[in-house]
Amino acid sequence: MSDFDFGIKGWWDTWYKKFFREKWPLWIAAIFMALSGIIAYGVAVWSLARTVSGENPYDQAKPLGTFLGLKELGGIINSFLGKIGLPHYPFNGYIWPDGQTINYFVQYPNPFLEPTAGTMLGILFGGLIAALLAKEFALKVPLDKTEYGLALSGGVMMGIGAVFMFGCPLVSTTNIGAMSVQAIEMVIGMTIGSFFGAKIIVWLEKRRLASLACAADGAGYRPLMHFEKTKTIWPKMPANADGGEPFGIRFQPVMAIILTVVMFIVLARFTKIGYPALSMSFLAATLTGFAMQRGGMCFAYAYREPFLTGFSDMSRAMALLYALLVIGFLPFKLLGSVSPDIAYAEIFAISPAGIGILLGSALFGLGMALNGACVSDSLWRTAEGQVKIWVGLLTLICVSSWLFPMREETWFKTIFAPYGSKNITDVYLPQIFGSYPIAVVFTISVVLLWALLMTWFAGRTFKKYMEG
Amino acid sequence: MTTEVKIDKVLDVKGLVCPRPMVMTMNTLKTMEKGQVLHVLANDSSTKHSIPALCERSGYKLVEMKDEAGTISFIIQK
Repeated sequence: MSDFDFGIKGWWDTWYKKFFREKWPLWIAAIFMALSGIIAYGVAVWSLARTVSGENPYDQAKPLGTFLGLKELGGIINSFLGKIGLPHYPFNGYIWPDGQTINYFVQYPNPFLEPTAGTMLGILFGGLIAALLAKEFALKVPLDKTEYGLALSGGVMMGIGAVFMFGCPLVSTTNIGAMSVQAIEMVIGMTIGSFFGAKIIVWLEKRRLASLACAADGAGYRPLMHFEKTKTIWPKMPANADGGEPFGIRFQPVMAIILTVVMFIVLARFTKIGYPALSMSFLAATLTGFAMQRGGMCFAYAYREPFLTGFSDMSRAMALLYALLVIGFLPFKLLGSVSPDIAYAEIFAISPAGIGILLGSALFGLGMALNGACVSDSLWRTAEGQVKIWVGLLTLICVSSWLFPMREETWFKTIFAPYGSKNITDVYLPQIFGSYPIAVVFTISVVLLWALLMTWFAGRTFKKYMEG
Repeated sequence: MTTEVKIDKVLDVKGLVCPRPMVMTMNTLKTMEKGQVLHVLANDSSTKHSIPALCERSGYKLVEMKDEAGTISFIIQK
């Protein structure tokens, strides 16, 4: 009996450690993220069909993205600023670029019913569950002013950049899968911005190292630097490492199970009152957040590290994710192209493309490199308790929400007109090529080329480091 | 210390978040002689991935990696 117990316990401990405590290989995390992205896309197509048929117009899911919810939040912020007499954009609602699609999207009775707002919460929740299961949650407050400076400046740049590029890196991921020209521009822009961001970080750290003196402390150690500039608010740590885990750490996996049960009860209730698509969409986002935290999947890392530390493993994992989404979205696109009721599904996650996207994404890339995280990265790292990341994320949300209505200005629309055109329209690769197979091959080739380029840059940076 | 290795330098980057712990670890190792040992203390979960990857690629020896009571500790021999 005891042998049997030992066997089960040993098996459970091994698998728990592998799945919930140790970091996942990046390619596994990329596959999980692709899977959740494809599920979210499928749910969005299904909810569109129900909206078109009039079965349930309010339960509108959208493909994975963490940005559009800000227009609802922007409405609230700008209305409030207007009431107290501060600078604001008058909030009169939004008109979609394609007049024919406006009937599919209504203003939401509650900002949290906007599907991408739900996605943001889902990623946050998934990251929290993963951090708790791994006993990695700790409320950490950096007291180093540089960290806050980087978070604030990065947050402002990302906030402005996000408005100009029509989204965030997670949107670019979904939109590459959807074969939008905008997403390819975003990848190019964010790569350029991250290059300059990496240069700024190198400069800052060189200055910092040069100013530090190495002194002997009399105990045989030579401390290079002791920041001691972090305050862990919760959980309280034991006085020494042998004092065992504090309750706040031991209890974390139990807390994760309780939160998961509560989530399923709430989603079951939400489904019952008429929001099954939003509930499933939330679940897909939770899986995304979980996979991102477990694998440490980070867009900022993928775009910045080839220029900063010379690592490109994350860039290749992101390229795998992009390519899997292109293939995974294809059946839904083909379904949309042959079924008139859900014809709009074919161009889900497609946006206008123009010089504005390129400029916005370069600014976003610069801010993302300085802040150390984009929107979705910030969400799962916020869930780990990194207070510095909260500062960057909140700055980004406030700035972009406040500026969001700027998208209705005429000058703003002009810079999103495709090259050679005066009108703002969505740009879709299968329409340009007139062929799905060519569009698929082209998109995957661009992704592959980007991965090769990042690997080459990483090799160059690392070689310089080892030789220098 | 649980590992019997003579530590030459200690780098405490607790409170800093990605990419600064990794950049500082790389910069510190660059200033050290071959064979010297660096002890890095961090609490950003990204280091669990990035620092072992640095050791694997550069040929530095990761003598020990521990994750205890919220502190991730690395002992690296250049």
